[in-house]
Amino acid sequence: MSARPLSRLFSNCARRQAAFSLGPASISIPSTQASSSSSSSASASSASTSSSTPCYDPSLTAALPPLRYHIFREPLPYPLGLKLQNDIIDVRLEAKKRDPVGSRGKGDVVLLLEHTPTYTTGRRDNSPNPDELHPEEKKVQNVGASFYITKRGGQVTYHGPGQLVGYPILDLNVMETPTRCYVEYLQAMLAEYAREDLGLQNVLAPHPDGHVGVFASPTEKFASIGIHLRHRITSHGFAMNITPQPIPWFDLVLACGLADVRAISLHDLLARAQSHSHSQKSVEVIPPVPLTVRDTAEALIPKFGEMFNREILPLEESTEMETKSNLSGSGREGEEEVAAIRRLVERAEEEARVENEKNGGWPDRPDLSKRG
Amino acid sequence: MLSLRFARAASALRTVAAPKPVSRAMRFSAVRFASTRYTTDHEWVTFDGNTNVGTVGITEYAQKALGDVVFVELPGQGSEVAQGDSIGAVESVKAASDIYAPVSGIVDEINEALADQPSLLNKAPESDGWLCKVKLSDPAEFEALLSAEAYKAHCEGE
Repeated sequence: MSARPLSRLFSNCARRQAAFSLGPASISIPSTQASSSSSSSASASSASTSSSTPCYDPSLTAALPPLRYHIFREPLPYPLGLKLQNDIIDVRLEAKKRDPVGSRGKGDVVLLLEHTPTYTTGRRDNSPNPDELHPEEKKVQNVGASFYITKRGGQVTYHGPGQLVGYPILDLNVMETPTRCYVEYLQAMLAEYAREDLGLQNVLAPHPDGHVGVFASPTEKFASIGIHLRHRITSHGFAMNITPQPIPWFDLVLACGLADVRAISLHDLLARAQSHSHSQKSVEVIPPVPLTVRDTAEALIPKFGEMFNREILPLEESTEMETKSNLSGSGREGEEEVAAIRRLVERAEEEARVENEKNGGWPDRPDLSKRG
Repeated sequence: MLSLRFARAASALRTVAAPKPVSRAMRFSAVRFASTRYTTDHEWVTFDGNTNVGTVGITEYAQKALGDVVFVELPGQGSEVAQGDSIGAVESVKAASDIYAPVSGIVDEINEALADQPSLLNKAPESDGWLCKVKLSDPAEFEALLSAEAYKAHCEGE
């Protein structure tokens, strides 16, 4: 993987954003240098134009503790994943209250997983008539997946095996990262993976019309983003289709509120690129081993570290600080926070295993025979 | 002598973080005019001591961090809220940020304009883009919020 300088990635973000007007293009980042101007620039900000002000200064977070990650062994039923994220945030908010300085960044964790077949939507759909089903939910009655209304941004989507789901639980205040920059970084990271690691051409992030996500063309989407923030700590995150397995499920709904866009997977795109290059050469090309969800999860780990300029370690790994756990004060408290998160994650793995066993697994494809 | 005592008590009201008991006369003069205070969650409250109503919104700092607002979820009119309760959210570019009640009370009025023009939150977060008005059950909560200087320091320090 190429060691790509962070600054190049971010200036690309700013240029692309300026071209597609993703949001207010200029932003004053509070830093020790800009302190006098940050709260008095109110009138200037509304006249924002395409500015190449980078969203993020890596040097600001170099001093934070390592990011932690966990790649789940077991596909999670959706409500388990939701409860886990909220429990982790509760632990973090408690730790922050007890020790606002010492806890900084300690509990930043990235969860990588698959879900069992599930449809979800965001909070714009949150005040339905309780007697009426959401229109998209009506379409997928009895196909073998549940439908949940969540507190994240974004609209209807599908999660299931063959799709990598990522839940970075990060304190954006501590990382001094504005919300919209965080969304852009996730988007840029997924696009970079597709372009650089997989060699795919024509990757669009965002869509030419400004829609957030990662697209293979104006009508094909392979990665989505939807975030929820509680006191500036993130939950939910991103989802990327690795194998074609999610596609028939996606085809049953109007995903992301985009009528002309269809879901596509990295497998489909790699096969397309393969056959295209094959047709141009006379040499037989041996197809590579198919990409797995786990392969992608592992490839994204170092990218998270690079993106946020932090060391990134498995959640299970104890740091030197932790083994010297007879330290008093904030050192030990912080390690207790990580240990508490570790326990929550292990409990979720076990509960998922038990539930999946009880249900006899999950359907491979949607059952179209019983729809209303 | 009396005027000196008055001045000392009034300044205690302004700078002390936790509300302290002050005589009714002192308190009345301190809250006669509408004043604005802030929270660490980047919200502002403009409190009118005469009507006991606080207008709530998000700050310029918060708006800039969010990006283009596409949807605002507000509490129901007439609902009772406690300080710190999650009362809705602001959604922008696929991120929905919870908003919190900066003070306890009853929601008197919500800004209906935000349903059709969520972008008001970007253009005028500290005026036309107000979120809701709350009839305060405990004005002391307002006094304990951050002053403009303290809020500015918080933004720069975090």
